[in-house]
Amino acid sequence: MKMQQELDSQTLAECDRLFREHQFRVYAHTDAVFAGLMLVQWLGGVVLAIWISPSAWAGDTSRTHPHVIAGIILGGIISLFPTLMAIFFPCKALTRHSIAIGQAFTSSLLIHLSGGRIETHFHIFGSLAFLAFYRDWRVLITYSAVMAADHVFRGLYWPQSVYGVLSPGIWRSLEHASWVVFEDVFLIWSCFRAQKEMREIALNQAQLQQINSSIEDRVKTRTEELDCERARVHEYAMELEAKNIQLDIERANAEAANHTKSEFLANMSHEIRTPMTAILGYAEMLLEDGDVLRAPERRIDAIRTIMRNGDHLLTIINDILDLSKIEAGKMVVETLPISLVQMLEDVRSLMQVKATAKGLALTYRFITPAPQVIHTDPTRLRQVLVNLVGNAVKFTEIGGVSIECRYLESPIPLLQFDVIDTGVGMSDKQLVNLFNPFTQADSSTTRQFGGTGLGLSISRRLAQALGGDVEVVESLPGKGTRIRFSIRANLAEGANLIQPTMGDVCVALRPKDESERSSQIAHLKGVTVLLAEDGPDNQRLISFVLRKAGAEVKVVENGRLAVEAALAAQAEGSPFDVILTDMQMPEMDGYEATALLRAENYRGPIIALTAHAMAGDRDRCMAAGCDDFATKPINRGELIDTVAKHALRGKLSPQELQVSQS
Amino acid sequence: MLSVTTPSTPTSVSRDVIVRNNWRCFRLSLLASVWITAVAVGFFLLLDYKQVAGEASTPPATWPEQSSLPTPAGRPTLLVFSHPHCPCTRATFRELEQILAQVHFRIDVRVIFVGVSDEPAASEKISILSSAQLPLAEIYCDEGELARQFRVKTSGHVLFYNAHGELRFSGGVTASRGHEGDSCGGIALTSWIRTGAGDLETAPVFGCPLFVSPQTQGAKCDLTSCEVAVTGE
Repeated sequence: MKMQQELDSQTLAECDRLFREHQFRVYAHTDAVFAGLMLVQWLGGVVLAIWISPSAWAGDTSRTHPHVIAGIILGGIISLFPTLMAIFFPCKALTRHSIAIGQAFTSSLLIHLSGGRIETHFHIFGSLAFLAFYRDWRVLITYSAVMAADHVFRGLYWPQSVYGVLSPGIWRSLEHASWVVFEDVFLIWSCFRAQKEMREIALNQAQLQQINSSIEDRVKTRTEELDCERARVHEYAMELEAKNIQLDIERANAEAANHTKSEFLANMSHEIRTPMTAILGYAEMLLEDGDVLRAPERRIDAIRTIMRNGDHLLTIINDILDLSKIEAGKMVVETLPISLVQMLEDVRSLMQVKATAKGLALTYRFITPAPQVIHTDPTRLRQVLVNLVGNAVKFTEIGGVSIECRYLESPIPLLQFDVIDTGVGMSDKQLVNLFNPFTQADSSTTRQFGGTGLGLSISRRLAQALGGDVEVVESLPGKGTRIRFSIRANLAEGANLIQPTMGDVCVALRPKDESERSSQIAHLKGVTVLLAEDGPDNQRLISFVLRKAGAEVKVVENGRLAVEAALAAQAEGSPFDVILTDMQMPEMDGYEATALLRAENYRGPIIALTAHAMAGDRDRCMAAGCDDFATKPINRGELIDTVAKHALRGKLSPQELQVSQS
Repeated sequence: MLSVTTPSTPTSVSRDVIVRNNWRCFRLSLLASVWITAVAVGFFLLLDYKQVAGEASTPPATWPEQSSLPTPAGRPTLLVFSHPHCPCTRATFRELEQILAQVHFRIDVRVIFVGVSDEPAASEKISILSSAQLPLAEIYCDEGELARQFRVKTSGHVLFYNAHGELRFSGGVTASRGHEGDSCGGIALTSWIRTGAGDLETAPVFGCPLFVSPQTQGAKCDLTSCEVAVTGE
């Protein structure tokens, strides 16, 4: 506890100092008060003498009473020394003791001047009380000693003056003394008390000072610490800000990159599909050429090979683009009401050719009651079903593929499609990587069966987007596979349910043959078409297709020319029946051209040719003012149907239109 | 008033300062002693003056028949001779008041103011003064004749004649000029009044002379004996 001891001694020294200071203040103050009192008493004494005994008489004659002289001179002498001491040497012990002596003399003088009045004796007790202001007990003793000496001396020289007779005098003097002693005792005690209190005050003050200074130190330290902290926090803040700015930049960069990627996707989609359209289209054209049957088998094979590979390439491209879209989160899922039966029929009809070619049965049926109409994305649903059924057909040599449709209400409403095949099946090892993109069951699969390896991963993502999933229920090598594809079943209010019936198995329709195609060829007789397309290959291709179907085609290579031609034709009174426009052209693209035409109040049907990259593109086409769209690469049949529909619309009356549409 | 300066406590003091301080203390103590001596001398002079008694005299032992005062009617009579302006005599009156308060029988108290004209203003003042201090006292204004009759020379001289007209006490009842308190005279008078017996007692009178006189003799009041050295007339 050395610190504490040091502290204590320091505090004690300070305490002493403060105590002495306080004492001196008390002495100084009391000295000053007594100096004043001395003067007042002197004056008082003079006044008293003049009042009581102004003159001494002898018969008629009078002279100034000696009391007055005594009051003035003796009173003055008595007051002089203590007053001077108080002025020039305040706080000295000699000062206050001389004041005490002077006060004693004053008491004596006043008593004499007042003729020994008993009341004047009170001055003694008053003086003692005043002297106690010094809080110094010695001063009281001095005063009492002088009074005692006065009595003793007077008793010796003038005994009668003190108390007339000896014997009672003793008792009288003892009585006087005892009164003085009584007061002395109390006053001395109070002096000690006062000194003690002063000491306590000084000690408290010293301790307080100590505490204050230590607090100040601590506050200073804390303030310094706080300043450090604040500086550090400021640094952090600056760093954070810098980082934020950096993050903003990076975010902007990322967004820009994303945007670039999206644009790239869109552009690439168009750029890739356009030549593909040409390749496939021309290949088909070659096959349809009237003379083709006379060509050597080699040539027909070659053309077929080109077509097959082109299809394959297109599939790959579509898959890649789809996957990119999904990865980029750009997949937008629509919700449209579709007929469940119609969907299954579509799928079945799409896959029928391949199935029949391999001699496989292709059927679908409802196991549970299922809704007639569901709300989902028809394109995606079809895509997945086609993919799964296509896979099933691809990997099955004998037997067949069937689709089982179930509707489950709990825990959540689900529509379940089980695709069952009697194909090669998969081992557990093969199942592991099944849904990973670009991996097929094993490397031999590509060689044997073809395929890109993207289909299943895309299908799964699409299924998830539709609120469900794709999973392999069971697969036995050599026996077959059952894959389950489920989607969220969003029903309309009060939807009707299809009841499953036994034997609700649809028989395969007649496979389409090429003759069917040609029946559509003459669909567009007498139809005038304005084609706006910038690619020369596509120009030739599309115009060939349309002309084959019987239409008259005018070709322009950009939007501006299209607008001019359309308006000119209209002005001449023979407007085009249909305008077919590619949406991405130099100088003026399809959107602008359409918008312009609509602004010019052109009411004729405008069909957009889109690469079908994004759902948003379709909306943009419609928003620009198109009536419909056809996809690229062009599907001959669809294109002709679409053009025919719109051309007919223009030609027919509303009634006829209704009939033809039903 | 006075400016108060608090001297700072000396922390480290050099020898020079200590020596100077000591020399100063010595000088101041010397001065104090001179002062005390002067005061003592002053007091001595004052007290000395106060102890000077008035000129001694021998009042008639029995009631003078030719006196202008009415003869006491078979009762003890107390006469007080007072200068009208003597301040010291106030103490005499106060003492008498106390003494007479102890008396259970009737005493005729007569206050004679010597050297007072019959002016009404003056006499009024006097009567108020004396009546306040000595009730039931008869006031007489005397131009000096009565004082000479009774051979009284000093203000505050008290004469006590018993019922038979014999002088039993003559003198002052204060211990010093204008000083209240016990005195030889006061005690003597009191004892006579109480006991009703005793010889003639005398005491020095401390007061202003009633007449302008060339000499005043000093007499001291002694503790051991209350007899007065009287210088004869």
